[in-house]
Amino acid sequence: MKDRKVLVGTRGPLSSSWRVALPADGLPFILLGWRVAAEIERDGGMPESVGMLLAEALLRVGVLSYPSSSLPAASTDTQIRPMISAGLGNRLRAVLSRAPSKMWLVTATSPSVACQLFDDPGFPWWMQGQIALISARSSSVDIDRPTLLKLMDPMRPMRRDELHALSLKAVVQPGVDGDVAVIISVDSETDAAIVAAIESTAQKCGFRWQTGSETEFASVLSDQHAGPPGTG
Amino acid sequence: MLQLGGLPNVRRAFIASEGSWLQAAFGGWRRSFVLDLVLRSLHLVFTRRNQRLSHRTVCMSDASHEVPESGQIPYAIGQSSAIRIPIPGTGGLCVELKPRGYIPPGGSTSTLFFQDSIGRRQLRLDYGPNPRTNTIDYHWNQQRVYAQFRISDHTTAGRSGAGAYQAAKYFKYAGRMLFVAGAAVDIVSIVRASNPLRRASEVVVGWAGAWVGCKLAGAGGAAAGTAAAPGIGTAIGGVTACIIGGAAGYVAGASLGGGVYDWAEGTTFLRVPEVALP
Repeated sequence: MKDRKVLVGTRGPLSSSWRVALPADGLPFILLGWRVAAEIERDGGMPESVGMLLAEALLRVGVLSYPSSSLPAASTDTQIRPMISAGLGNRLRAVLSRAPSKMWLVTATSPSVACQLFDDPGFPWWMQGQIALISARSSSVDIDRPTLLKLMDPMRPMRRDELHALSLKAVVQPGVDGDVAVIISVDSETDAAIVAAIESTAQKCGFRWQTGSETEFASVLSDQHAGPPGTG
Repeated sequence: MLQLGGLPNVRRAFIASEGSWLQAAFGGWRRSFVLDLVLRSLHLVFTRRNQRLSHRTVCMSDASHEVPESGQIPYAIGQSSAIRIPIPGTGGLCVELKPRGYIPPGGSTSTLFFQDSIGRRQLRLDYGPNPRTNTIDYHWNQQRVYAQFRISDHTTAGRSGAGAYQAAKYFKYAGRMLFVAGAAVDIVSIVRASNPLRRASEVVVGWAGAWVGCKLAGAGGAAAGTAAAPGIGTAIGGVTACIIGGAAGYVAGASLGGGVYDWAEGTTFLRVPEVALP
């Protein structure tokens, strides 16, 4: 019987079945998946326990910024900035792209606030319409609305110059149906720090942490046989 | 003779010439009064019906003003692809063919949605990699609606799901084209009608009736479909009933709109002569 609280990671190489683009420029990345209790897995997307675990782990490395379709409650450990479409052209693009007319960039330092990014219907994680930006604690992310929406395309390879331009340490994007998440780091030191934080937080939360090949990764997520989806 | 200023011509004629029923009423001949009243009411109804039929006959017989076309069928079919068809007893879930929330440029791989107004609670029919079965298949993605449909996330949809997926995928766009075509036909019929105002009244109320009919009938069909086969049945029942209800609602609405116009057109108001106070 499979252990039902598992956090699994793989560094690929990845097939296209996970619906995430491999980052360009040799950026280090890790694809995360999870298994939880069967009654929780009836619902798709990010389970609450896994969301809290990830938020807590990522906040050990830096602060977490993400787009929000609703104005969160103000607090001392949260920065909120409205993201306005400037100009008629940008507004028209916003309408055509079906992005919320009103959105805010939330920079959180608390896991209870940060984990809300996985449950925003305006930027649905389960439809791959969300992103989390990890930056240093000393500053918030200086990003405009068009750039943020451009980064949110999971099928668009992330580039090193984009991360440097925004002073980002890492980016988190959802994979297929929001059932997996890819963390792309700016360098190998940040990648190692993130993986170490995830491993220690997982153990603290009672999850078994393991890494392996893509085949082993798919096997853990599957109820059947090994191999990535579409190859079994 | 009663003073009847201010009443419509038809009604004045009806009342002024019927001194006999007034005498019967006030004379206490109740049986003849009631019978007379019923007969006169029927006479009034059929008189106005014949007036409407003769009006339409004039329109139809005049070759320079052709029979007004109706966009009823394409409108009723097409609107079901755009309207949120409610699913009773599900706390606000509706059948839709488009997702809610921000979708990245690559689009969504799902084509059929049962979701609330913000998309937080949803059941959607998807095609793509299924991590649970390690295959690429048609499957359901579910969030927070297990109690309503008893379908777990990543449940394989099977052949019926494949058919529903493809049907929804193409109907989303075909339906919109039919919707626009139906509306265009109606607008043209207004321009070409011998009585554009009357035709406009028919069309506008017809559209409203189609919307109401779709919502009401679609809800019933969705409920019945959910009871029979949650998910696929919900969609088939809801959309089918919406089309039928929309068509019927259009006919009823158009008839109502024309009737209201005829009534208003046949109504004249006469100024009541001023009388000095004693």
